[in-house]
Order: sequence, then structure tokens, then C-alpha cells
Amino acid sequence: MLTLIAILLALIPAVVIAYPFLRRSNSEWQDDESAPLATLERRWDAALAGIRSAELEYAVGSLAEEDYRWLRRQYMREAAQVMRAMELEHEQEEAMLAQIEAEARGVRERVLGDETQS
Amino acid sequence: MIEAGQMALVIALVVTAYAAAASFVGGWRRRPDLTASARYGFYCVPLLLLLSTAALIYAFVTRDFSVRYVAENSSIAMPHIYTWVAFYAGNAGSLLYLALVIAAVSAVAALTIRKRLPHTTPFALGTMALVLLFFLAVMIFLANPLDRLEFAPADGQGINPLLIHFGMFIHPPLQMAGLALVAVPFSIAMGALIARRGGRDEWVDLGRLWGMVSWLILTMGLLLGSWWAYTILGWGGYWAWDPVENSALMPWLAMTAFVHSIMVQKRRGMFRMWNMALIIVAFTLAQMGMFINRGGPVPSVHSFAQSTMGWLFLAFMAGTLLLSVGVFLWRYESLRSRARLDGIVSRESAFLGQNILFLAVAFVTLWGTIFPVFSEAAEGTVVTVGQPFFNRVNGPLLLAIVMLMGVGPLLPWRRSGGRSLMRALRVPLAAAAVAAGVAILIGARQPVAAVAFAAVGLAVGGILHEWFRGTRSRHRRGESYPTALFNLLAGNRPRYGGYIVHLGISMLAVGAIASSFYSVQRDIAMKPNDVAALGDYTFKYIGVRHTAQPDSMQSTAAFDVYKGSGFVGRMEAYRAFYPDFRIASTQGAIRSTPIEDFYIVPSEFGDDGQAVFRVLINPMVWWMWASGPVFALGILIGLWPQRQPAPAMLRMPRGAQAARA
Repeated sequence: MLTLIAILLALIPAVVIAYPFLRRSNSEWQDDESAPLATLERRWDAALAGIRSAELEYAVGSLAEEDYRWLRRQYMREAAQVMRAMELEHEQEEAMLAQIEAEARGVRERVLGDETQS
Repeated sequence: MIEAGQMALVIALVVTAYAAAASFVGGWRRRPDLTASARYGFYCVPLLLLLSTAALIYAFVTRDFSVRYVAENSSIAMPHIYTWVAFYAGNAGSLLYLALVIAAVSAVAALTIRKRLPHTTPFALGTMALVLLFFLAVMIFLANPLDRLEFAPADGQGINPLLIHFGMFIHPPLQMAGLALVAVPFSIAMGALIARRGGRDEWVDLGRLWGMVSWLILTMGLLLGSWWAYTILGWGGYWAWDPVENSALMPWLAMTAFVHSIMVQKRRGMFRMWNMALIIVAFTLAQMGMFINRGGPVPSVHSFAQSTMGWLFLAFMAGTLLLSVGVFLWRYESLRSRARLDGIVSRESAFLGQNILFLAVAFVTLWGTIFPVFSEAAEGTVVTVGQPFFNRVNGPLLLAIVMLMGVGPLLPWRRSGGRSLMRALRVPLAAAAVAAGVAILIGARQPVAAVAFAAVGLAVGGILHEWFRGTRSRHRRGESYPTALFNLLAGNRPRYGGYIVHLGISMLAVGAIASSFYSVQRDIAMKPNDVAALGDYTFKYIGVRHTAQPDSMQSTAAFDVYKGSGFVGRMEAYRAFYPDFRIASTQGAIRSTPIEDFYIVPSEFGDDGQAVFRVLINPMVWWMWASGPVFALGILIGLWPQRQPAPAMLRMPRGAQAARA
């Protein structure tokens, strides 16, 4: 009985371990998670998160206007650098930057309402 | 059943060794079949260890004293409900528990990271498997909980009486799990580093997630440990800077620094080397905790998990430290940051300052903890460093941390000018002044205490002010106040989850400050029907009742307690002596309110009912225990997956999507 249990206990992981070799699927080494586009995407996310954060800080009154403008300029520059690295058309870049502006305003209004404009 | 459990242990060891080797080789040679095989094998390990655990539990439940561990940690008199505590009460059982936790959590971690970090995962999983391998090998070869005795005794030795407490159902497993779980973010970081991806930041999200999980569990373990010490060790306090307490605190400090600092890497691509160094330090300190817990050379009140295998844990700690520093140096070049500090007054700087303070507290604590070893080596005399040292050195550092906790979140990323600083700080500073004023008005006479309350006021004021403004604005747009607050918090969960955790820290700080500066204590010898007073409280000692329990002699003292002229109630405190263990366990009588705790603990009983009691009034300790659920809520909110409210803004440009396709 004990021998049977031992064989069973050993057999289950053995089959599980052997399975990837037996299934003969044409699995390949996956794309590099650090591919240039993925890195750019992270930088894009960071720049947008920065804009959102600056909008929020400004809206709740934690940021003076000069600091807010400086921060937005920095983050917009980073977003623009990312878009340039993606080799977008000039019009596409302009449209995206305009969209960021509009959405940033939207974030502020959605989160804090009209009072924050004061 | 026992034999099946033993076999499962051995098979788990073999499979883990295979998973470690196959992961590293597969990752190195870019062999997806090999890494998948390692991963699948690794998924089997928790199931095998679960079988071994079930075998041990079965032995406890059936009172199978032929199993050495069961005979040493339980008895026929032990209620079945304490089987869970007995499972990890001794060295061998706690190793099995640790192995099970590491295996289960590592398997879940491997599942969560394998898709997002395919190149990092093999090395991360290999690292986790190596850590697990160490615990399994030590357990199987040196402290096997399923070993049988040659002759089964009729009864077991019983469970350590100090463990018979509600807190022991949760505190040790959480504390051990917290220490073990540091291995997960450490392994992810090491995996990224080995795979040359340490500097590319893709590991940051998952490293942070697992860092926060382990931080929460460490926090809860520490808090429950303090609560246990407060209620059952019977000395009226909750933190004694004991080596085992310190050994749990040190990795917590390093992990706290890490979960903050990793945000800077996520947002700015900075602190890459620093974060790697932090997680290595945190893992090393967690291993030091294991070492001190299991036979470290420093004297401690936590003697129940001691063994003679401390040196093995020390060697493991030294080995992993050397290896991880080696990997760090090997991949040093890949860790250069892409950004630089824009301004001294910024959130990044606040994080850095806070990190340095946390590490300073950790290293002061480390020095105080291991000082007896150095003193013995240098002068042949063991000199222990007591509470006054820790309080004097760590107190100001912790105060500075609370202040930074108040200021840091209010600072913008990158830089802040003078006007922004004043805008952000005017309300919190006013709150700090009010807190200090209130503290002085209600009797705070020590300037340090007033400053400490002001620091908490600063932190709480900043958080509440931001919530108030946000909620009010939403309310003006037509939402009810509760809905407005809910939507505000739900709109940016990581930010507001963090704020809730900071509120929990503030509650903890209030309890610690008030009880450290304003606790009053009296030792009183009383005869039955004697009346004594402390502060506003008057208490009458009714008498003592001696009862014989199967495993102990218990003396219970009863008191009628009055506050002013009002009757508070009858309170009972007891002291039990366990002759088999030569241990006395004391349970204080505690009346706890948010304002203060009235605490009576018996020191000794005479023959004629005369007894000596220690009576304390500990202000605001209640807030410390209430902070636990607040921490849990904050982390839960912070980690809850969020659908971004502005999807177009967060989408990649279409051109990039096309380019990727």
C-alpha cells in the first residue's frame, strides 16, 4: 500500500513536469517584455500619470500656478518625446497633444468640479 | 497517513530542486519547454506540502504521540481548537508552515508574473525555489515534523501555555508569513536583475504589489504580537524592544521604505539601484529575523521557537546576501536611472529622506539587538541594550518619519516652489498647531510630546483637508456627501488607499505617543477588601480564587472598579502557573476605551489572600489596536484593480499600436 502511495505521489508531479516536453506545441520564447515599444509605453504612462497628478494637485490647491505650468510643460515634453520616438506623423502628434490637454482638463473637472477652476 | 506525508515532503524537496535548476537553465538557454516544466513542477509543491500538513494535523487530532512533534507540542488535555497553534508552536512544525506558505504564495506569484514578465519569471521562480529548497532541506534533514518516536508515550508534553491565547491563532502565522513573503518581491527583483531587466522598470508594478502584500502581513503580525504581549505577558506594555520583536520590526522598516521608494521608480524611472539595495536589505533582515527566532545568540522572551539550528539560518542569510550583492554588482550598469532629481523640495526628495530615516531606525535597532554579541566578544561580558537606548535614539527618528509622512504626500512630484509649499502646508500646519494646543490644554507638559502630537496633526490635517475639498467640490455638483467621498476615493485608489494607511499609522502613533509619555503606574500590596486609587479610578480588591486546572494552578483576583463616583464594573485578572513548563502566565484585567486603558495585573499572591498588583492607566492604547483594520482597508483599496476614468488619455497613440502590430 505504501509503495503504491509513493508511486502515485511521485508519478503526479513527474507527469506534470514532463507535460511541456510531451505536448509538442510550437511554443517559442515570448516577446521581450522590455521591447522598445513596451519601454515607450511605460514612459507614456508615466508622463500621463504626471499630468493627471499635476492637474489634481493644482485643483486641490496644493500647487501654485507657476509650478503647475512648469510641471505640465515637463510632462508634455516627455509625452511628445515618446510620440516622436514612435515616429508618428506630425498631425497625429498634434492631435494627441491636443487630446491630452482636453482630457487633462476633463480629469480636473470630473474629479473636483467647477469650484477648482478658481 | 504519516508515511504519506513524509513521502510528500521528500518528493516536494526533489521537485523544488528540479524547479530551481530547470528555471535557471531554461531562462538562461531560452528554453520555454524547460521553464514551463519547472513552473508546472513548482505548482505541485504546495499540494504536496498540503498533504504533509494534513498528515501532521491528522496526527494531532488523533493524538498520535508516536509522532515526536505531536508528543512534544500537545497532550490529551489540550483542546482540539489549539491544534492549529500546536502546528507551528515548535521549530519543526513552524518550518513546515513556512515552507507551505512560501510554496503557495510563490506559486501564486509565478502565476501573476509569468505573462507580464516572461523573461524575468524563470529567474524569479528559480530564486523562490532556492529559498524554498533551503527551508525544505533544513526541515527534512534536521527537524522533520513527521518523524516518529521509537516508543509512543501515553501522553504528550502539552502546548506552551503562553501560546494559549486568541492572538496566537493569528499572530505567529502572520508574522512568519510576513517574513517569508519578503522572498517574493525579492525574487522578482533578483529575477529582473539577472534577466538584465532591472533597469527597465517593468518589474516595478508586480514588485510593488507583492511588496505591499508582504508589508501588510508583516504589519498585522507586528500589531497582533504587540496586542498579545499587552494582554498576556502581563507587564503593562506592548513593545519591549526584545530581540525577536526587533527582528520582525527591521524587515518591516525596510519594506516600508521599499514600497514608497518603488513609486519613484514607477513614476520617474529613478532610484533603480536604491530599490534593488532596499529589497536586498529587507530580505536579509527577514532572514536575520528567522535566525534570531531559531536559536540566535541574543537573549529573548520569545523562547518557544528556539532551536540549535540558528547557525544554518545565519549561513543562509550570509549566503543570500553575498549572492544578491554579487548579482547587483554584476548587473550594476543596467540600473542607471533615466531621470534626475529636479528639485530638493519634491515628493521624490521626501521619499528619499523618509527612506533614509527608515533605514536609520532599522540599523539602530539592528545595532541594539546584536550589541550583546559584540560586547561578549570584545569584553567577555554580555551587555544588553534596553528600552532607554532605543527610545532615545529611535524616538526622534520615528517622529521625523511621522512629520515627513505629513509633508511628503502634499509635495508635487519633481519640484515645488515656495508658494506651492505654503499652499500645500498652510492647513496641515494649522492642524498641527491645533493638535499641539489641544495636547497642551489637556495636560501635555513635555514639549517633545506636544511636538509629536503636532506631527500627527500635520499628517491627519493634510489628508482630511484634501478629502474635504474633493468631497465638497463633488457635493456642489449634486452628489450627496457619502457618495462624493466614495467617488473621490474610488477615483484614485492607490493615492487614497495610501492616505488611509497613513491614517492608520497616525492612529498607531497617537497610541504610542500618549502611552509612552503619559502612562501612570503603581505597584500596590493589597489585602481583600482594601481600596486603592490611581488617577480618577478607585478600585476595591474583592479577593482571590484559587482553582486547580488539569495542567495548571490558577489564581484569579477580582476587583470592583469605579471611575469618579460611577461604577465601571467588576474586573478579573489571573495568574496561572504551569508546573510542567515552569512557566507563569498572567492575564491582566483591562478596561479599554478610546481615551485610556485601566489595567490591573497581579505580580504575586500571598497565602492569606494578600497580593501585589501593578496598576496602570495607559492613555489611548485602544487606537493602536483599532489601526489594524484601517491598514487592511487602505492596502485593499490601494491594490484593488482600477479601470482608469480617462481611457483615451491612457491609451497608446494609434500609430504606436499599429507599429506594434
